[in-house]
This record gives sequence, C-alpha cells and structure tokens, in this order.
Amino acid sequence: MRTIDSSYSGQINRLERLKRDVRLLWRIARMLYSYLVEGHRIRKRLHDKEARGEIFYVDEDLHA
Amino acid sequence: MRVKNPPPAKYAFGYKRPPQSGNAINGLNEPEKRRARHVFHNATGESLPWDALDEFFSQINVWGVVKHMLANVWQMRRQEGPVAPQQVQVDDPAAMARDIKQVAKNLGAGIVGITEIFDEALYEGHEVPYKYAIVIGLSMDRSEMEHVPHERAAVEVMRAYREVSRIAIELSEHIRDMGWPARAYGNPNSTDILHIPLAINAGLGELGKHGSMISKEYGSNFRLATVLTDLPLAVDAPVDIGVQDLCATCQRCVLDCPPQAIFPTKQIVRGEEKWYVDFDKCIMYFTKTYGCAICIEVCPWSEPGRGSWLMETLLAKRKP
Ligand code: SF4
Ligand code: SF4
Repeated sequence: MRTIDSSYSGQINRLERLKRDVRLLWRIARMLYSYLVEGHRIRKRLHDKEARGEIFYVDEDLHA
Repeated sequence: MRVKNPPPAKYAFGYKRPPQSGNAINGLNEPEKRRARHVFHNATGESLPWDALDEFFSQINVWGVVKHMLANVWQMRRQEGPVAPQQVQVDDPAAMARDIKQVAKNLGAGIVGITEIFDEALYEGHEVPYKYAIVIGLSMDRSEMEHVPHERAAVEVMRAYREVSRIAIELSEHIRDMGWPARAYGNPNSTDILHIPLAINAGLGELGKHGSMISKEYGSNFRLATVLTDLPLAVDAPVDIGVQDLCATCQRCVLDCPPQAIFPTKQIVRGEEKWYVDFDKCIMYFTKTYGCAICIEVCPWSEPGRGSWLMETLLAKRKP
C-alpha cells in the first residue's frame, strides 16, 4: 500500500489534470481495497501465527 | 511525562532472510560525506530492501491512521500546479520572508523557518529545481500523544501530518498565485528532500539524542512539511537553544526506548558526528506499535511550556 508522490505536474492543462486526478482516485481506491481485503487477511494470519507462537515472516507470509 | 505500559520489545513478526542493515544504508560508521538513501516510508516508487516491512506496517495499521493517510495522498495532488503568468516583483526578500511566514501562520503553521536548499538535504539521486525551502512545523495534540506507544497517538501523528501537509500545499498555491514556482512536500513518505536537516538549517531547532529535531516551542512534539520555491526570500540562521548541553547528560530517551535503539553517544554517520538511532532495532518496535514515538514524548523539551525555560537555564549555565 505504498503512496507514490505525483511527478512534476505544474504545467499540465486542465484535461491532463483531470486525468491525473482520476488515476489518483483509482490508486486510492486500490489502496483502500488492499487495506480492507488483503490487510484483513494479513492481520488474521498474523494473529493466528502469534496465537500458535509462530513468527509471521514479512518476506514470505505477506503475499502467501 | 511517563509512558504507561509500553509493550515489550518482542515480536510476532520478522524477516526470514533479513535485508541489508538499515544502519549500513544510513551510512553508520562511514567516514565519507555522502547523501542519504531512502530506507523506509519512501514514496518514490523505487524498490527498497525494507519494503516488505514497510508494506506490513501499512497493512497492520489501524483504520484511524489509514484514513488520514489516504486523505493526505488525495490532497497531495495539489502539491504542484500552474504558476500565475504575472510575477510579483520582490525588492525586499526580508519583507517577503516576513509576509510568507505570516501567511503560513494564518494557514495554521506553528513555527516557520527559511533556508537555502543544500546538498545533504537531498536524497541520493534526487535533484530539485528550486533555491529555497520554507519549513513548517505543527504541534501535535499533547493530550493524544500522551498515549504513546498506542493507537491514539498514532492517529494523532497521522492527523498532524495531514494537517501540516495541507498548510504546505496552501502556502505553495499562494506562492504560485504570485507568479513564482513552488512545490509542497508533505509527510510521512519521503521523495526528494530530508525535512529535518532543512528545518535545522532554517533555525527551527536542533537535533536531539533521539534522532529527532527539538524546538524551543514544542520540543519534539510536532510534525514537519516543506515548500520549495524560487521566490526570493531572506533565510534564517541555525539556532543554539542548548539542546546539546542537555543531551550530553540526559539519558531519558535512551532509558525509555523499549528496544534500546538510541545510542548514548554521538556516532559517525556519512562523515559527520551526530546523534543516531539504530534503525534495525527501532523499526521493529516502531512497526509493532504503529509508529512508537515514546522518545519524542518523554523528552523534557516536549513538556508544554518548558522549552523557553530550558533554553534560558541551559544557556545561562554556560556563562563563566
Ligand atoms: S521511536 Fe524508535 S528510538 Fe524512539 S523510543 Fe520508539 S523504538 Fe525507541
Ligand atoms: S530525552 Fe534527554 S537525551 Fe533524549 S533527546 Fe531529550 S533531552 Fe536529549
């Protein structure tokens, strides 16, 4: 769910700015979806592993 | 302030194959000067060795934090924009600096300082087409921050980041309306610039042993955002408020840091002797507690109303 700053966009026209905003809204929607769906799965797996005394390996279990 | 029930520095998560140490990335024990490299909370899109933990941090975070973070991403689209064709001429950069600081304060800024941009304040591989940095500090709500290292404090940190970013965005819009280019840099995710070195050079405060900046107004209980611009401005000088005198003997943050990440003495970092926090130790606790912040809140400078008194007392002690 990484945020990425927009590239330099000072001199773009109104239409290009609108397109950029739509793309940004789409990215925010994806981030929200990722937090709610993927994040829920990650948080659940973390708690399950914790309850079993196991380690959640971020380099293996994040996208498992 | 005393911390109530900090969770132990034991973790139910970790790396199977640990990445390169964040201390090596940060240049700990490197005698040569060089620019900093991104290590965590980076918004450039480039892939970094600690990305998996960064991703994990976002995914386990509480909704109160995520909500502010997403709103901040949306508002940051206004960090740049069209520059008015008619340029306001600046005959007196000192008067303009006063005006700009007043505009920032009217927008809600607590402290404002101005510096020229310098090499060590830029990340490796990043350049910016501007001459000046206007650094803005905004106090966090201390009654919320007293809950470190728990959820309520984490939400307040992100709320403050969102609010200080808004101030920077609106200040950059004000400058662009005057016909001068300007770009706002919010937080917490970094791209081109390091806010703390800029803030220190802009006279907002000094680096403390806990690796954060200390100001006489808020201690370390604040968040920063920056506006870069070419608008001609008079710059501020770095300040000496006595931070080094107190940090030389105080151990408060060192003792209260659960994973013992704060070095008690200055270290060589990228060719400079400075206070330093062990990244690898801090980041695990930071992740577990959604941002920790114990060290900045237990610091005596962060006690409301105490900074000016501390500064006067410490500086008076120096007199022969
Ligand atoms: S933020 Fe890091 S250095 Fe500060 S107290 Fe927490 S773990 Fe320690
Ligand atoms: S707690 Fe003490 S040692 Fe740590 S930064 Fe504050 S004054 Fe310095």
